[in-house]
Amino acid sequence: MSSPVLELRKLTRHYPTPAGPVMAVHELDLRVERGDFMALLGPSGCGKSSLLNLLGCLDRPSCGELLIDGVAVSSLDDDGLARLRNHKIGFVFQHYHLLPRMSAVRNVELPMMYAGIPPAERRQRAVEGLERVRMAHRLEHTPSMLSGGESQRVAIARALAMNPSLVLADEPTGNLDTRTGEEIMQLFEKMHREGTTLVMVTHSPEMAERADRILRLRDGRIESET
Amino acid sequence: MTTSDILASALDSLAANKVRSGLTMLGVIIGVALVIILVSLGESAKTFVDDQMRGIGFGRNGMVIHPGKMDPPIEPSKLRLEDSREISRRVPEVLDQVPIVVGSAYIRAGGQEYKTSVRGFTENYTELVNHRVESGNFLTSLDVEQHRKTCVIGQKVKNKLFAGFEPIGETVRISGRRFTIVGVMEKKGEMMGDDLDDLVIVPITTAQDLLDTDKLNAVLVWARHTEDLPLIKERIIEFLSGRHMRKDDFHFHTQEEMISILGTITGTLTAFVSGVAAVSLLVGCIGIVNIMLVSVLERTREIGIRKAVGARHRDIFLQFFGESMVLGLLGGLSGLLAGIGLAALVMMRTGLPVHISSWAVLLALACSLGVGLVAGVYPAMRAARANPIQALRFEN
Ligand SMILES: Nc1ncnc2c1ncn2[C@@H]1O[C@H](COP(=O)(O)OP(=O)(O)OP(=O)(O)O)[C@@H](O)[C@H]1O
Ligand SMILES: [Mg+2]
Repeated sequence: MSSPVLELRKLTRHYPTPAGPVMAVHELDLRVERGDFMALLGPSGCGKSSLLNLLGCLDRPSCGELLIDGVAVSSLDDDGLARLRNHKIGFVFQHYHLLPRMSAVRNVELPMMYAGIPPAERRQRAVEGLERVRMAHRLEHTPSMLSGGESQRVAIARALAMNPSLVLADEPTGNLDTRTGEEIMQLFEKMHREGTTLVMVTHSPEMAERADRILRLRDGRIESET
Repeated sequence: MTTSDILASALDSLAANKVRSGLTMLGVIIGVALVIILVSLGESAKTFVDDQMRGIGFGRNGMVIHPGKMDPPIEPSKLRLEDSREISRRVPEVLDQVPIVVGSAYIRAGGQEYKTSVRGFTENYTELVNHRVESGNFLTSLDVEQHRKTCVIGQKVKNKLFAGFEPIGETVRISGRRFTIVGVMEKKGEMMGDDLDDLVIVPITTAQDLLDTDKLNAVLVWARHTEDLPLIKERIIEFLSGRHMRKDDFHFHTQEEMISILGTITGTLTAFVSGVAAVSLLVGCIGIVNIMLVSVLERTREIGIRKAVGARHRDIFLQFFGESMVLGLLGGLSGLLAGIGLAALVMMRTGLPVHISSWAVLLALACSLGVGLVAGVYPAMRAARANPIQALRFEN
């Protein structure tokens, strides 16, 4: 039996502030199995983004343990975390976070560039990735020439570029209208059907319903899971 | 990330801010151009003087005795023809000497007349100085002894007075007196501002008669061995002082001295210019650091994004470091082109040989690379150290 994609053991993140520490994530225990589609739901400020940043190795826990594919994150140095983000994790952000001066296809190439994949191969894979999100007609467009939905589809192609074990999405439809948001949700469901493990932060209970697990957070703790 | 990825990224971001990049490079451009222009000009001038001296065959073993204590002489010369003869006789280290009288006179033939330079030499002039007869003969010792009215003319004189036919054996009038042409000197061009084609050479004795003087304008002296020159100087001083002169009635020039005077001048110039160039490069360096820090700050979010998709510490470092190196190198190359262009222009305008110092080019390129290197390290380190989350949240 293979190890879970994510395993959290009393995972904690406190932010020190002048008014005392903020408990953004408090002693969370959780397992996410391969192929899971999990939604993180909860009121604003409950620690959803903080948790996602920890899961994505953008941030380090204050204490507790996080294992990704069975590897303890605390055992890795910064470059080790960078390699982990590069090979195992794909991010989709609310604000897309595409590089403004680069074309869509070069944005998708970016993770592959850092993985050391040769230019010709990464270009080909980036084009294929953009075809999969139906963006093949906008290869050379820069982000400023793309609509919000198109930008997010490019960002999804970038997240999937390295065939990650885990895709993390922080309010991926938060900036989009209902119809465009629906298109993005369909892409996530397609990813899920194809076997990608997904953790998605959302504010909307309807969106959360489409996941197969819903984790409700309050004040950095798990309130309930359905 | 490959080298070409780094380069492409650097060029992209510099191209996105063309004016800013250009202004940033200005310090480096000026510094590099200055180094190239001044070093090349200095070397070109040195080559020029060297060539000139070699051109008239005034080799390293030669020196000139000039009258008076400074150049140009302000008091009348006291050097006489007997003095120069005695030098050969009394100072055994001297290989040979040529006394010189210089003046100007009207020369006339076939109804044409114009003013040219008259030079009085002894018969050994062409053996010692690299200035030869093209046709006919040079003067003989008899010509000198007997004050004969024979002459050898330069190419310009020949072209002006005898266009199209052989002048040897013809008669010319110099200051109204009849001279027979025995030879024509080879074409020599200008040497240190002196046109060696526009002259008529006559026996030294005749020249003194013609110019109504018993003095000399200079004496050329050659040593058997170059290292004897200081000794010869001393002997000549001793000997001439014993005769009719004081110590400051004459002075010496050796080629070494002239080159070393030029060396001091260009040395001072080079030191000054190196200072200016160094300051300019330093300013260029600070400019690059400054712009790179601004660039790192502006692109904080970009750094966050790159880190989120897997850029390591060194990937970010190399990206910004590469940008700074490209700035330095582009500045260096632009400065190189500007410097070479301007230096060549100045040399062509002033008639100096066109020469670009290769070590100055290498030095300038090394400097611009060095500037890019030094200027890049700190900003690139700051970029590489950025915390991914803070960088992603950064608003600008
Ligand atoms: N860098 C920080 N320093 C101090 N406190 C922080 C920092 N980042 C987040 N917090 C605090 O931690 C708590 C959780 O923040 P987080 O961004 O994870 O909430 P969230 O659930 O994503 O909210 P939202 O739904 O509004 O995005 C908040 O109270 C926030 O103020
Ligand atoms: Mg959030």
